[in-house]
Amino acid sequence: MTSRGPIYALSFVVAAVGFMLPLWPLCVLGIVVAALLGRYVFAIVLALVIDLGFGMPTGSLSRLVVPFTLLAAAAAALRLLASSYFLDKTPPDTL
Amino acid sequence: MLVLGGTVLVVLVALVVLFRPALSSLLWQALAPVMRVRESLGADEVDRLRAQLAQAQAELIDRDALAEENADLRARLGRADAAAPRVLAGVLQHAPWSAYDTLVVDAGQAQGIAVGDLVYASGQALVGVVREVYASSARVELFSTPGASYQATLNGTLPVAVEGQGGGSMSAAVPAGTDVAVGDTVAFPGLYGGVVAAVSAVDAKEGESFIVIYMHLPVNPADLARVEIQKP
Repeated sequence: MTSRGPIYALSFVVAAVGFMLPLWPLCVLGIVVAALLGRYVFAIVLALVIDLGFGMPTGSLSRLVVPFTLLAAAAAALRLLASSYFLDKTPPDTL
Repeated sequence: MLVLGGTVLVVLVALVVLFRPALSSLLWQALAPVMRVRESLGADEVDRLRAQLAQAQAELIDRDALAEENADLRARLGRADAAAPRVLAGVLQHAPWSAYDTLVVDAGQAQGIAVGDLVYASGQALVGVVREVYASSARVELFSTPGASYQATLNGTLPVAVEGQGGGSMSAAVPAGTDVAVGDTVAFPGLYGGVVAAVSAVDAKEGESFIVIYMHLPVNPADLARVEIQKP
């Protein structure tokens, strides 16, 4: 059982630093880290806040409306999909 | 559980999309103090100067637009003919290498320059008058030339006699009680006058009937590379 605290703290700090600098790839990294490590709700809420902060995307991205939230959802879906194949598999000690 | 969580998230996203402007406004209200602190931490001398440069460039665009509008209005009011064409001249010599706070420019009789022509820098900044004309050069006396005296107006209304002090500086005496402050402009009267100077200091002594104001040219004469010369 791993502690959840550091994951929340790390992803929040990375995303917050990305927002403050502003350097959006760090925001993406924070959100993706949270989602890929199984903190789906946290990742989506964080992405929603960042979407609110950065505002409506412009140009071709305007169709996405909430691009960071969609990214968080995609990363969460990827994690769920991957977990059914690779994660949480404990190989038997003996045949 | 997963379905419930998913439903809550979908509702949350829908609410954010629907009420985005209001929520963004709330978020930025909360973040504003943090952002101000960030700006103050990150701002160094270079950033401050960059911001000043950007502001100056924006004001320059504004000035050009106003000058164009001014010319258009003059044309509509039948005064366009009064605007004599300007001759661009390069500065061959300027203070401190030229004597007596004068400029030597590379335009003279051949370019139609005559004694008494007005000399502008950067558009509307009036810096001096042509005093001597040669075949292909001329000597310009700056308004700040020591001993030179000119009639001008303070803030566009109060007539003042401006006296040169050298090095781009000038002074004038105005009656005590005159409303004058640092930054006020001194200009030549008339439609085609320009800004001569900005007030840099005010010396008001108790009991004296005049206030001495100190001014400097709007541009540093030592930095001038080109000027524009126009008939008065």
